[in-house]
Amino acid sequence: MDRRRLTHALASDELPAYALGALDADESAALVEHLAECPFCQADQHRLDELVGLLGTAVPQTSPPPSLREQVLAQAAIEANAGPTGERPTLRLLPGWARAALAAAAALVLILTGAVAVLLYNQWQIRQELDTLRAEQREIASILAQSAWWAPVTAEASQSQPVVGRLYLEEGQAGVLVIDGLSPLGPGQVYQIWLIRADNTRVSAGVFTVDASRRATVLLHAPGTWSAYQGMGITVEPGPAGSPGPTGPRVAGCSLADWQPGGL
Amino acid sequence: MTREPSDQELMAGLQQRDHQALALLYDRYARSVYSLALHILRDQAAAEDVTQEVFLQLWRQPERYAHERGPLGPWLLRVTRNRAIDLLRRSGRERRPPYADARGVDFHLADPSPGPDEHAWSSTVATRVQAALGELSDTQRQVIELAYFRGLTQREMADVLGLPLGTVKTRVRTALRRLAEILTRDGVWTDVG
Ligand SMILES: [Zn+2]
Repeated sequence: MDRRRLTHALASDELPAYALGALDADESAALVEHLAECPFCQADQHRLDELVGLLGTAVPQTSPPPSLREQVLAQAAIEANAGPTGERPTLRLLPGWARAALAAAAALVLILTGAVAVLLYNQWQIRQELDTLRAEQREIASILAQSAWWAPVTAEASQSQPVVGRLYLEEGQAGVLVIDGLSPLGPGQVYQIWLIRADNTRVSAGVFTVDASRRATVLLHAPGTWSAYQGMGITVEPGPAGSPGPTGPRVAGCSLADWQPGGL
Repeated sequence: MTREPSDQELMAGLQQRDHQALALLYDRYARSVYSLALHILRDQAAAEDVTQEVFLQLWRQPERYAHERGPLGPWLLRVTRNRAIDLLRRSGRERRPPYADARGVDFHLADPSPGPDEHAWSSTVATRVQAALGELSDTQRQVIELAYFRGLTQREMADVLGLPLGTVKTRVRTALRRLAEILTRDGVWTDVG
C-alpha cells in the first residue's frame, strides 16, 4: 500500500476530524499510522475523544423505559452464570436493531467444523435466535447452491499465514464469504468486511471472528446490488461492532475483476 | 447510607463480576446513553438496543475501558455515539438533512432537563458543553452537528453544503479546537474527572 506519510503538523490538523469519525478511509489509515508512532498526537487524540464524549451530553434527556434496566441486568446475570469467558459459547454483539435493519447487518455462522456457534443477537430470546440462525443457514445453503458468481479471496502480502477463501454471490445483494486461514483475534477485536464502491469508498458489510479452526462462513448483504461494488476487503477493527470506516490492517480481499461465473 | 462508590470502584466491581456494580453504573449513566442514542437514531427500539449493548459490553469486557484515557461518562457516550452512527450508516437510511442549510438544530442548547436518576456529572457538564457550543459560529456548529449526529464525513459535508472540501476541513478543525479551548477555560475537564 503506498500511502502518503503524514507529518506531525498535518496529522495534528486532522485529529479533530478523526475524533469525529469524519475522515475518509484513506485519510484515517494514514493518520492511524502516524498516531502509532507519535506520543503527542496520542495525547491529543485522548483529549479529543473525551471532548467528543462530552458533546453527547448536549441532547434532550429522556429516561429509557424501566423494563430496559431489568432486561440488561437479567442478560448480564445469564452471561455471568454461563461460566468464565473461555468456556461459554462465543457471544457476538451484533446490532439487535437488526430487527429493523436485518438486511444491513451481517449474520455470522461458523459451520465448517460442524460446530455451530449460536449467536446471541443482543436481547432476542433464544427462540428467535434459533429461528434466525436456521433461516440464515437456509439462506447460506441456498446461496452456496445457486450462486451465480464467485470471487477468490486472497491474503494481503503482509500476512504470514496463507488465507484462502471464496465470496459467493447471488443475483441481487446476498452473498456468502467462506474463508480459511485467518488468525484468531485478541479480545475486543473483530474482522470487518468492507465492500468497495467504484469511487473507492467503503461500506461495512458486517463483522465476524474466527476460532481456533481459523475458518468462518459469513452471510452478507450488500447495500444496493453487487454491481455497485468493485471489490471486498477484510480489516481488523475494534469489536464488537467494528468501525465506521476501515482503520486496521487489511488482511484479505478480492477484486471485482476476479469475479467468475459458477457456484460451488 | 455510606457514600456513593466512585466509577473506578464500580469498574473494579465489574472486573470481579459484581452484578450490583453494573446496576449502579446503569442507574448512573443509562439516561445519558439512551438519550444520545435516541437523538441520533430517532427510533426508540434502536436506542434501547444501543443502550443495552453499551452496558452489556461494559459487563463483558470491562477491561476495554482504561481509566488513564479519561473519565467513564464521556467514554461511554463516545462508545454510544460511535455505535449509533455505525447503525445509522449500516441501515442505509438517509443521513443527509432534508435541507441544504441545516444549522443549529441538532445540539440541544437549552436547559438539559436533568432527571431524577441522573448522575451529577451529566447535568453540570451538559450546561457547560451547551454554553461552549453556543460560543461557536453557526457554520462551525453546523459541521460538528453533521459529523456528530449524522455521521457525515468531511467529503460528504462538502457535498451537502456545496462548499470546497478545504473549507469544511478548516471549519471542523477550528470548531473542535475552539470547543476544547472553551471547555478547558471553563474547567470542564476537572469537573468530569
Ligand atoms: Zn504527531
